Amino acid sequence: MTSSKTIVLRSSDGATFEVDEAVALHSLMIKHRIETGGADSTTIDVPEVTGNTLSKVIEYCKKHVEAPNSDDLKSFDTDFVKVDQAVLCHLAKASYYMNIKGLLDLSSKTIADMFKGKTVEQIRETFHIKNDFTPEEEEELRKENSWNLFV
Amino acid sequence: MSNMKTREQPKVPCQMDMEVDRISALPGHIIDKVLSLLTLRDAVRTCILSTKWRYKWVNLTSLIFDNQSVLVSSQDPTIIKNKMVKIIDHVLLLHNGPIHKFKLSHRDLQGVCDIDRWILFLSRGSVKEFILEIWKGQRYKLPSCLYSCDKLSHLELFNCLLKPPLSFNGFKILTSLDLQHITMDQDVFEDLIYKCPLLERLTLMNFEGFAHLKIHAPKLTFFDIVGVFEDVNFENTFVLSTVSIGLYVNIGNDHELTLGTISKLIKFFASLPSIQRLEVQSFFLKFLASDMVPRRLPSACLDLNYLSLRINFNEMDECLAALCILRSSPCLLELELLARPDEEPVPKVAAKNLQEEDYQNCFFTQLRFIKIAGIFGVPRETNFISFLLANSPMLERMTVKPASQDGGWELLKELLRFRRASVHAEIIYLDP
Repeated sequence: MTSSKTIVLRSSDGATFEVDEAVALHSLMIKHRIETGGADSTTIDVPEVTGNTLSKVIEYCKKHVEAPNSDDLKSFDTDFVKVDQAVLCHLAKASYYMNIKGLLDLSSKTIADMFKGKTVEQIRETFHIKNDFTPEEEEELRKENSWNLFV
Repeated sequence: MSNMKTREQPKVPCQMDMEVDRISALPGHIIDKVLSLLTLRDAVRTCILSTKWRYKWVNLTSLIFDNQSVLVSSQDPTIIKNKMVKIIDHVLLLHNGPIHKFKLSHRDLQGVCDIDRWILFLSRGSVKEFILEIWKGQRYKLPSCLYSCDKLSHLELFNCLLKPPLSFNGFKILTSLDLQHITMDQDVFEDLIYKCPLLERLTLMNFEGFAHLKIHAPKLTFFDIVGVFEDVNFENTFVLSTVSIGLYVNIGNDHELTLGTISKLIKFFASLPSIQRLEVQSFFLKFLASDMVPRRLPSACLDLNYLSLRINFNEMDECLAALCILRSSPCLLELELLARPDEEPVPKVAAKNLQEEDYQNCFFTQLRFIKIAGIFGVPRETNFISFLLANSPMLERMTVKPASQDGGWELLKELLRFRRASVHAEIIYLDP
Protein backbone atom coordinates (compact mmCIF):
# COMPACT_ATOMS: atom_id res chain seq x y z
CA MET A 1 0.00 0.00 0.00
CA THR A 2 1.88 3.04 -1.21
CA SER A 3 1.27 6.37 0.40
CA SER A 4 0.75 8.04 -2.95
CA LYS A 5 -2.48 6.26 -3.76
CA THR A 6 -5.14 8.67 -4.83
CA ILE A 7 -8.87 8.54 -4.75
CA VAL A 8 -11.24 10.43 -7.01
CA LEU A 9 -14.27 11.99 -5.39
CA ARG A 10 -17.24 12.89 -7.57
CA SER A 11 -19.72 15.48 -6.40
CA SER A 12 -23.44 15.66 -7.11
CA ASP A 13 -22.89 17.94 -10.08
CA GLY A 14 -20.25 15.72 -11.66
CA ALA A 15 -17.14 17.61 -10.54
CA THR A 16 -14.24 15.31 -9.80
CA PHE A 17 -11.44 15.82 -7.32
CA GLU A 18 -8.32 13.72 -7.04
CA VAL A 19 -7.07 13.48 -3.49
CA ASP A 20 -4.53 11.45 -1.57
CA GLU A 21 -6.09 8.42 0.00
CA ALA A 22 -4.97 9.56 3.46
CA VAL A 23 -6.86 12.81 2.99
CA ALA A 24 -9.97 11.04 1.75
CA LEU A 25 -9.93 8.70 4.72
CA HIS A 26 -10.47 11.69 7.01
CA SER A 27 -14.10 11.19 6.04
CA LEU A 28 -15.30 8.10 7.85
CA MET A 29 -18.01 7.65 5.26
CA ILE A 30 -15.42 7.42 2.49
CA LYS A 31 -13.27 5.18 4.65
CA HIS A 32 -16.18 2.83 5.02
CA ARG A 33 -16.92 2.91 1.31
CA ILE A 34 -13.31 2.09 0.45
CA GLU A 35 -13.12 -0.69 2.97
CA THR A 36 -16.30 -2.32 1.82
CA GLY A 37 -16.11 -1.40 -1.84
CA GLY A 38 -13.46 -3.83 -2.96
CA ALA A 39 -10.25 -3.24 -4.85
CA ASP A 40 -11.72 -1.13 -7.63
CA SER A 41 -13.02 1.68 -5.48
CA THR A 42 -10.85 4.48 -6.79
CA THR A 43 -13.78 6.73 -7.65
CA ILE A 44 -16.23 7.49 -4.90
CA ASP A 45 -19.50 9.24 -5.54
CA VAL A 46 -20.61 11.82 -3.03
CA PRO A 47 -24.10 12.65 -4.32
CA GLU A 48 -25.09 14.61 -1.23
CA VAL A 49 -22.45 17.26 -1.80
CA THR A 50 -21.99 19.77 -4.63
CA GLY A 51 -18.65 20.50 -6.23
CA ASN A 52 -18.12 23.85 -4.53
CA THR A 53 -18.69 22.43 -1.07
CA LEU A 54 -16.73 19.28 -1.76
CA SER A 55 -13.76 21.36 -2.80
CA LYS A 56 -13.85 23.21 0.52
CA VAL A 57 -14.29 20.00 2.47
CA ILE A 58 -11.24 18.56 0.78
CA GLU A 59 -9.31 21.71 1.67
CA TYR A 60 -10.23 21.13 5.34
CA CYS A 61 -9.28 17.48 5.26
CA LYS A 62 -5.97 18.20 3.56
CA LYS A 63 -4.96 20.68 6.23
CA HIS A 64 -5.99 18.43 9.09
CA VAL A 65 -4.36 15.33 7.66
CA GLU A 66 -1.16 16.87 6.41
CA ALA A 67 -0.43 19.26 9.25
CA PRO A 68 -2.45 18.19 12.29
CA ASN A 69 0.01 19.59 14.79
CA SER A 70 0.80 22.89 13.17
CA ASP A 71 0.51 26.04 15.25
CA ASP A 72 -1.74 27.75 12.76
CA LEU A 73 -4.35 24.99 12.75
CA LYS A 74 -6.56 26.99 15.06
CA SER A 75 -6.38 30.12 12.97
CA PHE A 76 -6.93 28.01 9.86
CA ASP A 77 -10.14 26.70 11.38
CA THR A 78 -11.27 30.15 12.46
CA ASP A 79 -10.72 31.56 9.00
CA PHE A 80 -12.17 28.49 7.34
CA VAL A 81 -15.62 29.19 8.70
CA LYS A 82 -15.62 32.89 7.92
CA VAL A 83 -18.05 32.26 5.13
CA ASP A 84 -21.64 33.21 4.45
CA GLN A 85 -24.49 31.20 5.89
CA ALA A 86 -25.19 29.28 2.73
CA VAL A 87 -21.66 27.92 2.59
CA LEU A 88 -21.64 27.32 6.33
CA CYS A 89 -24.82 25.27 6.17
CA HIS A 90 -23.53 23.33 3.17
CA LEU A 91 -20.33 22.58 5.08
CA ALA A 92 -22.30 21.42 8.11
CA LYS A 93 -24.43 19.11 6.00
CA ALA A 94 -21.48 17.80 4.05
CA SER A 95 -19.47 17.09 7.19
CA TYR A 96 -22.47 15.27 8.60
CA TYR A 97 -23.04 13.10 5.53
CA MET A 98 -19.37 12.46 5.03
CA ASN A 99 -18.83 11.82 8.74
CA ILE A 100 -16.01 14.27 9.37
CA LYS A 101 -16.28 14.97 13.08
CA GLY A 102 -13.86 17.89 13.28
CA LEU A 103 -15.60 19.82 10.56
CA LEU A 104 -19.04 19.02 11.94
CA ASP A 105 -17.98 20.28 15.35
CA LEU A 106 -16.44 23.39 13.84
CA SER A 107 -19.41 24.32 11.69
CA SER A 108 -21.92 23.50 14.44
CA LYS A 109 -20.07 25.66 16.90
CA THR A 110 -19.94 28.51 14.42
CA ILE A 111 -23.68 28.30 13.89
CA ALA A 112 -24.29 28.05 17.64
CA ASP A 113 -22.21 31.16 18.26
CA MET A 114 -24.53 33.04 15.92
CA PHE A 115 -27.38 32.40 18.35
CA LYS A 116 -25.64 33.71 21.40
CA GLY A 117 -26.34 37.10 22.86
CA LYS A 118 -29.21 37.82 20.50
CA THR A 119 -32.87 38.53 21.04
CA VAL A 120 -35.45 36.42 19.25
CA GLU A 121 -35.94 39.09 16.63
CA GLN A 122 -32.23 39.33 16.02
CA ILE A 123 -31.95 35.57 15.62
CA ARG A 124 -34.81 35.55 13.14
CA GLU A 125 -33.12 38.33 11.22
CA THR A 126 -29.73 36.63 11.22
CA PHE A 127 -31.04 33.41 9.84
CA HIS A 128 -33.98 34.82 7.85
CA ILE A 129 -36.44 32.79 9.87
CA LYS A 130 -40.01 33.80 9.28
CA ASN A 131 -42.33 33.99 12.25
CA ASP A 132 -45.17 31.89 10.92
CA PHE A 133 -47.18 31.36 14.07
CA THR A 134 -50.89 31.96 13.68
CA PRO A 135 -52.51 33.90 16.52
CA GLU A 136 -53.99 30.66 17.86
CA GLU A 137 -50.63 28.95 17.76
CA GLU A 138 -49.00 31.88 19.48
CA GLU A 139 -51.60 31.77 22.19
CA GLU A 140 -51.03 28.05 22.65
CA LEU A 141 -47.29 28.60 22.79
CA ARG A 142 -47.75 31.27 25.38
CA LYS A 143 -49.90 28.97 27.50
CA GLU A 144 -47.33 26.21 27.23
CA ASN A 145 -44.96 28.58 29.00
CA SER A 146 -41.64 27.28 27.69
CA TRP A 147 -40.67 30.77 26.65
CA ASN A 148 -41.72 32.59 29.79
CA LEU A 149 -40.02 30.24 32.18
CA PHE A 150 -36.69 31.02 30.63
CA VAL A 151 -36.96 34.73 30.12
CA MET B 1 -41.23 36.99 -3.76
CA SER B 2 -37.49 36.36 -3.58
CA ASN B 3 -35.43 39.16 -2.12
CA MET B 4 -32.82 40.11 -4.67
CA LYS B 5 -29.56 41.33 -3.25
CA THR B 6 -29.56 44.49 -5.38
CA ARG B 7 -31.12 46.55 -2.63
CA GLU B 8 -29.12 45.47 0.37
CA GLN B 9 -25.46 45.13 1.09
CA PRO B 10 -24.49 41.56 1.80
CA LYS B 11 -23.67 41.06 5.45
CA VAL B 12 -20.81 38.73 4.66
CA PRO B 13 -18.38 38.73 1.77
CA CYS B 14 -20.31 36.63 -0.72
CA GLN B 15 -22.38 37.59 -3.66
CA MET B 16 -25.10 34.98 -3.59
CA ASP B 17 -26.46 35.38 -0.06
CA MET B 18 -30.16 35.12 -0.85
CA GLU B 19 -32.33 35.66 2.17
CA VAL B 20 -33.25 32.05 2.44
CA ASP B 21 -33.85 30.37 5.74
CA ARG B 22 -31.37 27.54 5.44
CA ILE B 23 -30.89 26.79 9.06
CA SER B 24 -34.40 25.58 9.78
CA ALA B 25 -33.99 22.91 7.12
CA LEU B 26 -30.73 21.48 8.44
CA PRO B 27 -30.87 17.81 9.36
CA GLY B 28 -32.13 17.09 12.87
CA HIS B 29 -28.77 15.79 14.06
CA ILE B 30 -27.06 19.03 13.20
CA ILE B 31 -29.73 21.10 14.90
CA ASP B 32 -29.43 18.87 17.95
CA LYS B 33 -25.73 19.48 17.96
CA VAL B 34 -26.11 23.24 17.58
CA LEU B 35 -28.69 23.42 20.36
CA SER B 36 -26.51 21.32 22.63
CA LEU B 37 -23.83 23.99 22.34
CA LEU B 38 -26.19 26.63 23.74
CA THR B 39 -27.24 27.02 27.35
CA LEU B 40 -30.50 25.27 28.10
CA ARG B 41 -32.09 28.67 28.37
CA ASP B 42 -31.06 29.72 24.86
CA ALA B 43 -31.98 26.32 23.47
CA VAL B 44 -35.51 26.31 24.90
CA ARG B 45 -36.08 29.86 23.78
CA THR B 46 -35.71 28.80 20.17
CA CYS B 47 -39.24 27.42 20.50
CA ILE B 48 -40.55 30.84 19.65
CA LEU B 49 -38.62 31.36 16.41
CA SER B 50 -41.11 29.68 14.09
CA THR B 51 -43.49 26.73 13.98
CA LYS B 52 -40.62 24.56 12.72
CA TRP B 53 -38.56 25.46 15.78
CA ARG B 54 -41.26 24.97 18.35
CA TYR B 55 -40.18 21.50 19.37
CA LYS B 56 -36.62 21.27 18.10
CA TRP B 57 -35.20 21.75 21.61
CA VAL B 58 -37.10 18.82 23.12
CA ASN B 59 -34.68 16.32 21.61
CA LEU B 60 -31.70 17.63 23.53
CA THR B 61 -29.80 14.69 24.98
CA SER B 62 -27.98 16.81 27.49
CA LEU B 63 -29.87 18.82 30.12
CA ILE B 64 -27.86 21.20 32.24
CA PHE B 65 -29.60 23.24 34.92
CA ASP B 66 -27.17 25.74 36.39
CA ASN B 67 -26.88 29.45 37.03
CA GLN B 68 -26.42 30.13 33.33
CA SER B 69 -29.40 28.20 32.11
CA VAL B 70 -31.80 29.22 34.85
CA LEU B 71 -31.87 32.89 35.70
CA VAL B 72 -33.58 33.80 38.93
CA SER B 73 -33.47 37.42 39.94
CA SER B 74 -34.56 36.83 43.50
CA GLN B 75 -32.43 35.82 46.46
CA ASP B 76 -35.31 34.37 48.39
CA PRO B 77 -34.73 30.61 48.69
CA THR B 78 -38.42 29.78 48.38
CA ILE B 79 -38.82 31.78 45.19
CA ILE B 80 -35.70 30.24 43.75
CA LYS B 81 -36.83 26.77 44.66
CA ASN B 82 -40.27 27.29 43.19
CA LYS B 83 -38.92 28.60 39.92
CA MET B 84 -36.36 25.87 39.55
CA VAL B 85 -38.85 23.12 40.31
CA LYS B 86 -41.26 24.61 37.80
CA ILE B 87 -38.58 24.80 35.14
CA ILE B 88 -37.16 21.33 35.61
CA ASP B 89 -40.59 19.73 35.81
CA HIS B 90 -41.58 21.58 32.65
CA VAL B 91 -38.49 20.61 30.71
CA LEU B 92 -38.65 16.96 31.72
CA LEU B 93 -42.32 16.73 30.84
CA LEU B 94 -41.95 18.29 27.41
CA HIS B 95 -38.72 16.50 26.66
CA ASN B 96 -38.75 13.78 24.06
CA GLY B 97 -36.23 11.06 23.55
CA PRO B 98 -33.26 9.83 25.53
CA ILE B 99 -31.48 11.92 28.12
CA HIS B 100 -27.80 11.06 28.21
CA LYS B 101 -26.55 13.78 30.52
CA PHE B 102 -28.32 15.46 33.41
CA LYS B 103 -26.65 18.12 35.49
CA LEU B 104 -28.19 20.08 38.33
CA SER B 105 -25.83 22.60 39.83
CA HIS B 106 -27.51 25.82 40.74
CA ARG B 107 -25.65 27.82 43.36
CA ASP B 108 -28.75 29.04 45.13
CA LEU B 109 -30.69 25.81 45.24
CA GLN B 110 -30.75 23.73 48.37
CA GLY B 111 -31.40 20.04 48.39
CA VAL B 112 -35.12 19.90 47.72
CA CYS B 113 -37.03 16.65 47.74
CA ASP B 114 -38.17 17.27 44.18
CA ILE B 115 -34.74 16.02 43.23
CA ASP B 116 -35.87 12.53 44.18
CA ARG B 117 -38.66 12.75 41.63
CA TRP B 118 -36.32 13.85 38.88
CA ILE B 119 -33.89 11.05 39.63
CA LEU B 120 -36.77 8.59 39.48
CA PHE B 121 -37.66 9.93 36.05
CA LEU B 122 -34.06 9.57 34.89
CA SER B 123 -33.71 6.08 36.31
CA ARG B 124 -36.46 4.92 33.98
CA GLY B 125 -34.42 6.04 31.01
CA SER B 126 -30.82 5.35 30.22
CA VAL B 127 -28.96 8.31 31.64
CA LYS B 128 -25.20 8.01 31.18
CA GLU B 129 -23.91 11.06 33.02
CA PHE B 130 -25.43 12.33 36.22
CA ILE B 131 -24.08 15.38 38.01
CA LEU B 132 -25.67 16.74 41.14
CA GLU B 133 -24.15 19.61 43.08
CA ILE B 134 -25.96 20.92 46.13
CA TRP B 135 -24.33 24.21 46.93
CA LYS B 136 -26.39 25.22 49.92
CA GLY B 137 -27.63 23.44 52.96
CA GLN B 138 -26.88 20.06 54.39
CA ARG B 139 -25.95 16.82 52.70
CA TYR B 140 -28.66 15.68 50.35
CA LYS B 141 -29.68 12.05 50.83
CA LEU B 142 -29.90 10.43 47.44
CA PRO B 143 -32.95 8.31 46.71
CA SER B 144 -32.61 4.59 46.15
CA CYS B 145 -33.69 4.90 42.51
CA LEU B 146 -30.37 6.54 41.71
CA TYR B 147 -28.68 3.23 42.32
CA SER B 148 -30.74 1.55 39.66
CA CYS B 149 -29.41 3.84 36.91
CA ASP B 150 -27.42 1.02 35.48
CA LYS B 151 -26.34 2.82 32.31
CA LEU B 152 -24.30 5.37 34.21
CA SER B 153 -20.76 5.89 32.98
CA HIS B 154 -20.07 9.14 34.88
CA LEU B 155 -21.38 10.05 38.33
CA GLU B 156 -20.50 13.30 40.03
CA LEU B 157 -21.87 14.31 43.41
CA PHE B 158 -21.25 17.30 45.63
CA ASN B 159 -22.64 17.61 49.14
CA CYS B 160 -24.63 14.39 49.10
CA LEU B 161 -25.25 11.46 51.39
CA LEU B 162 -24.98 8.00 49.90
CA LYS B 163 -26.88 5.11 51.38
CA PRO B 164 -27.70 2.59 48.69
CA PRO B 165 -30.30 -0.10 49.27
CA LEU B 166 -29.19 -3.62 50.13
CA SER B 167 -30.10 -4.74 46.66
CA PHE B 168 -27.57 -2.39 45.10
CA ASN B 169 -25.42 -4.28 42.66
CA GLY B 170 -23.02 -1.58 41.60
CA PHE B 171 -22.80 0.50 38.47
CA LYS B 172 -21.59 -2.06 36.00
CA ILE B 173 -20.37 0.33 33.32
CA LEU B 174 -19.34 3.27 35.45
CA THR B 175 -15.94 4.53 34.36
CA SER B 176 -15.74 7.85 36.18
CA LEU B 177 -16.73 8.68 39.77
CA ASP B 178 -16.31 12.09 41.38
CA LEU B 179 -17.43 12.47 44.98
CA GLN B 180 -16.84 15.68 46.88
CA HIS B 181 -18.16 16.69 50.29
CA ILE B 182 -20.03 13.45 50.67
CA THR B 183 -20.95 11.18 53.52
CA MET B 184 -21.19 7.43 53.40
CA ASP B 185 -20.41 4.47 55.59
CA GLN B 186 -17.19 2.49 55.36
CA ASP B 187 -18.81 -0.61 53.94
CA VAL B 188 -20.84 1.40 51.46
CA PHE B 189 -17.66 2.96 50.14
CA GLU B 190 -15.78 -0.30 49.77
CA ASP B 191 -18.77 -1.95 48.20
CA LEU B 192 -19.28 0.87 45.75
CA ILE B 193 -15.71 0.76 44.48
CA TYR B 194 -15.66 -3.00 44.35
CA LYS B 195 -18.92 -3.24 42.46
CA CYS B 196 -17.89 -0.83 39.71
CA PRO B 197 -15.49 -3.11 37.86
CA LEU B 198 -14.85 -0.76 34.94
CA LEU B 199 -13.94 2.26 37.05
CA GLU B 200 -11.11 4.22 35.46
CA ARG B 201 -11.23 7.57 37.24
CA LEU B 202 -11.91 8.18 40.92
CA THR B 203 -11.95 11.55 42.64
CA LEU B 204 -12.67 11.85 46.36
CA MET B 205 -12.56 15.15 48.13
CA ASN B 206 -13.59 15.86 51.69
CA PHE B 207 -15.57 12.87 52.78
CA GLU B 208 -17.12 11.72 56.04
CA GLY B 209 -18.19 8.40 57.40
CA PHE B 210 -15.26 6.29 56.35
CA ALA B 211 -11.56 6.41 57.14
CA HIS B 212 -10.07 3.30 55.59
CA LEU B 213 -9.59 3.54 51.90
CA LYS B 214 -9.67 0.15 50.34
CA ILE B 215 -9.42 0.64 46.62
CA HIS B 216 -10.06 -2.48 44.62
CA ALA B 217 -10.27 -1.27 41.04
CA PRO B 218 -8.55 -3.30 38.32
CA LYS B 219 -9.18 -0.74 35.57
CA LEU B 220 -8.36 2.37 37.55
CA THR B 221 -5.91 4.75 35.86
CA PHE B 222 -6.60 8.04 37.69
CA PHE B 223 -7.01 8.57 41.42
CA ASP B 224 -7.30 11.90 43.19
CA ILE B 225 -8.08 12.10 46.88
CA VAL B 226 -7.95 14.83 49.46
CA GLY B 227 -9.38 14.40 52.91
CA VAL B 228 -9.02 12.84 56.30
CA PHE B 229 -8.34 9.12 56.42
CA GLU B 230 -6.39 6.59 58.44
CA ASP B 231 -4.94 4.42 55.76
CA VAL B 232 -5.07 3.67 52.09
CA ASN B 233 -4.87 0.22 50.58
CA PHE B 234 -4.63 -0.30 46.89
CA GLU B 235 -5.66 -3.75 45.83
CA ASN B 236 -5.44 -4.87 42.26
CA THR B 237 -4.63 -1.41 40.94
CA PHE B 238 -2.02 -2.52 38.50
CA VAL B 239 -2.80 0.02 35.79
CA LEU B 240 -3.15 3.01 38.06
CA SER B 241 -0.87 5.61 36.53
CA THR B 242 -1.90 9.01 37.94
CA VAL B 243 -2.29 9.42 41.67
CA SER B 244 -2.73 12.49 43.81
CA ILE B 245 -3.18 12.02 47.56
CA GLY B 246 -3.58 14.67 50.21
CA LEU B 247 -4.02 13.80 53.85
CA TYR B 248 -5.48 16.74 55.71
CA VAL B 249 -4.76 15.67 59.24
CA ASN B 250 -1.42 15.82 60.95
CA ILE B 251 -0.86 12.29 62.12
CA GLY B 252 1.33 13.40 64.98
CA ASN B 253 4.76 12.13 65.91
CA ASP B 254 4.14 9.45 68.45
CA HIS B 255 2.90 6.47 66.52
CA GLU B 256 3.91 3.00 67.51
CA LEU B 257 6.14 1.12 65.20
CA THR B 258 4.74 -2.36 64.99
CA LEU B 259 7.52 -4.76 64.21
CA GLY B 260 7.12 -7.14 61.35
CA THR B 261 4.77 -5.08 59.29
CA ILE B 262 5.78 -3.96 55.84
CA SER B 263 6.63 -0.30 55.80
CA LYS B 264 3.87 1.93 54.55
CA LEU B 265 6.16 3.32 51.91
CA ILE B 266 7.00 -0.08 50.48
CA LYS B 267 3.42 -1.24 50.59
CA PHE B 268 2.20 1.90 48.87
CA PHE B 269 4.54 1.64 45.91
CA ALA B 270 4.27 -2.13 45.66
CA SER B 271 0.59 -1.79 44.89
CA LEU B 272 1.21 0.84 42.20
CA PRO B 273 3.56 -0.78 39.70
CA SER B 274 2.39 1.40 36.81
CA ILE B 275 2.57 4.75 38.51
CA GLN B 276 3.57 7.57 36.15
CA ARG B 277 2.45 10.74 37.89
CA LEU B 278 2.34 11.07 41.66
CA GLU B 279 1.39 14.02 43.83
CA VAL B 280 1.82 13.68 47.56
CA GLN B 281 0.06 16.54 49.30
CA SER B 282 -0.35 17.99 52.79
CA PHE B 283 0.58 15.35 55.36
CA PHE B 284 0.62 12.23 53.25
CA LEU B 285 4.40 12.07 53.00
CA LYS B 286 4.56 12.21 56.76
CA PHE B 287 2.06 9.36 56.82
CA LEU B 288 4.14 7.28 54.42
CA ALA B 289 7.26 7.97 56.45
CA SER B 290 5.67 7.14 59.76
CA ASP B 291 7.16 3.73 60.07
CA MET B 292 10.30 2.16 58.74
CA VAL B 293 11.73 3.99 55.76
CA PRO B 294 14.00 1.85 53.60
CA ARG B 295 16.90 3.23 51.68
CA ARG B 296 15.31 2.27 48.44
CA LEU B 297 12.19 0.46 47.34
CA PRO B 298 12.37 -3.28 46.57
CA SER B 299 11.37 -2.64 42.98
CA ALA B 300 12.06 0.56 41.12
CA CYS B 301 9.26 2.81 39.85
CA LEU B 302 10.27 2.55 36.25
CA ASP B 303 7.32 4.48 34.89
CA LEU B 304 7.37 7.36 37.34
CA ASN B 305 8.13 10.49 35.34
CA TYR B 306 6.44 13.21 37.45
CA LEU B 307 6.67 13.54 41.22
CA SER B 308 5.36 16.30 43.44
CA LEU B 309 5.96 16.15 47.20
CA ARG B 310 4.68 18.37 49.95
CA ILE B 311 7.55 17.97 52.38
CA ASN B 312 8.64 19.36 55.72
CA PHE B 313 12.39 19.66 55.37
CA ASN B 314 12.73 19.77 59.14
CA GLU B 315 11.33 16.27 59.48
CA MET B 316 14.14 13.82 58.86
CA ASP B 317 11.73 10.93 58.23
CA GLU B 318 10.06 12.84 55.44
CA CYS B 319 13.40 13.72 53.87
CA LEU B 320 14.50 10.10 54.05
CA ALA B 321 11.22 8.99 52.54
CA ALA B 322 11.67 11.49 49.72
CA LEU B 323 15.19 10.24 49.10
CA CYS B 324 13.98 6.66 49.10
CA ILE B 325 11.41 7.43 46.43
CA LEU B 326 13.90 9.47 44.40
CA ARG B 327 16.48 6.71 44.61
CA SER B 328 13.92 4.28 43.25
CA SER B 329 12.72 6.42 40.33
CA PRO B 330 15.40 6.30 37.65
CA CYS B 331 13.13 7.68 34.93
CA LEU B 332 11.95 10.79 36.71
CA LEU B 333 11.59 13.78 34.37
CA GLU B 334 9.99 16.38 36.57
CA LEU B 335 10.19 16.96 40.30
CA GLU B 336 8.30 19.41 42.44
CA LEU B 337 9.06 19.97 46.13
CA LEU B 338 6.66 22.15 48.08
CA ALA B 339 7.86 22.99 51.56
CA ARG B 340 5.44 22.56 54.40
CA PRO B 341 6.28 24.70 57.39
CA ASP B 342 6.54 23.26 60.88
CA GLU B 343 3.24 22.69 62.59
CA GLU B 344 4.37 23.53 66.10
CA PRO B 345 5.25 27.13 66.69
CA VAL B 346 8.60 26.16 68.25
CA PRO B 347 10.69 23.81 66.14
CA LYS B 348 12.09 20.74 67.82
CA VAL B 349 15.52 21.45 69.22
CA ALA B 350 16.98 18.04 68.61
CA ALA B 351 15.83 17.53 65.05
CA LYS B 352 18.43 15.50 63.21
CA ASN B 353 20.07 16.52 60.01
CA LEU B 354 20.58 14.38 56.97
CA GLN B 355 24.06 13.03 56.65
CA GLU B 356 26.27 12.65 53.63
CA GLU B 357 25.47 8.94 53.39
CA ASP B 358 21.75 9.62 53.26
CA TYR B 359 22.26 11.35 49.94
CA GLN B 360 24.37 8.62 48.38
CA ASN B 361 23.49 6.48 45.39
CA CYS B 362 20.88 8.83 44.18
CA PHE B 363 21.42 9.92 40.63
CA PHE B 364 18.91 11.45 38.26
CA THR B 365 19.76 10.50 34.72
CA GLN B 366 16.54 11.82 33.20
CA LEU B 367 15.49 14.66 35.45
CA ARG B 368 14.89 17.79 33.42
CA PHE B 369 12.75 20.11 35.50
CA ILE B 370 12.76 20.86 39.20
CA LYS B 371 10.43 23.19 41.04
CA ILE B 372 10.98 24.16 44.65
CA ALA B 373 8.59 26.43 46.53
CA GLY B 374 7.83 27.66 50.01
CA ILE B 375 11.33 27.38 51.42
CA PHE B 376 13.09 29.71 53.81
CA GLY B 377 16.67 29.10 52.77
CA VAL B 378 17.73 27.17 55.85
CA PRO B 379 20.55 24.62 55.54
CA ARG B 380 18.22 21.62 55.54
CA GLU B 381 16.56 22.99 52.46
CA THR B 382 19.61 24.31 50.67
CA ASN B 383 21.52 21.08 51.23
CA PHE B 384 18.75 19.23 49.48
CA ILE B 385 18.82 21.66 46.59
CA SER B 386 22.55 21.38 46.32
CA PHE B 387 22.27 17.60 46.24
CA LEU B 388 19.67 17.76 43.46
CA LEU B 389 21.79 20.09 41.36
CA ALA B 390 24.89 17.98 41.78
CA ASN B 391 23.17 14.81 40.67
CA SER B 392 21.07 15.88 37.67
CA PRO B 393 23.25 15.91 34.57
CA MET B 394 20.25 16.43 32.25
CA LEU B 395 18.67 19.26 34.17
CA GLU B 396 17.23 22.04 32.00
CA ARG B 397 15.54 24.25 34.51
CA MET B 398 15.16 24.65 38.25
CA THR B 399 12.80 27.24 39.66
CA VAL B 400 13.03 28.28 43.28
CA LYS B 401 10.32 30.30 44.97
CA PRO B 402 10.85 31.13 48.64
CA ALA B 403 8.08 31.54 51.17
CA SER B 404 8.91 35.16 51.86
CA GLN B 405 11.30 37.93 50.98
CA ASP B 406 13.28 37.45 54.21
CA GLY B 407 16.63 35.87 53.53
CA GLY B 408 16.02 36.11 49.81
CA TRP B 409 19.48 37.50 49.16
CA GLU B 410 21.16 34.81 51.21
CA LEU B 411 19.29 32.14 49.34
CA LEU B 412 20.27 33.65 46.01
CA LYS B 413 23.91 33.73 47.00
CA GLU B 414 23.78 30.08 47.98
CA LEU B 415 22.05 29.06 44.77
CA LEU B 416 24.70 30.83 42.76
CA ARG B 417 27.41 28.96 44.54
CA PHE B 418 26.08 25.43 44.08
CA ARG B 419 27.80 23.07 41.71
CA ARG B 420 25.65 21.86 38.87
CA ALA B 421 26.03 18.58 37.09
CA SER B 422 24.25 20.01 34.07
CA VAL B 423 25.97 22.85 32.27
CA HIS B 424 22.70 23.72 30.55
CA ALA B 425 20.69 24.15 33.71
CA GLU B 426 18.88 27.41 34.24
CA ILE B 427 18.17 28.36 37.81
CA ILE B 428 15.30 30.75 38.09
CA TYR B 429 14.53 32.56 41.29
CA LEU B 430 10.89 33.57 41.58
CA ASP B 431 9.73 36.29 43.89
CA PRO B 432 7.44 35.05 46.64
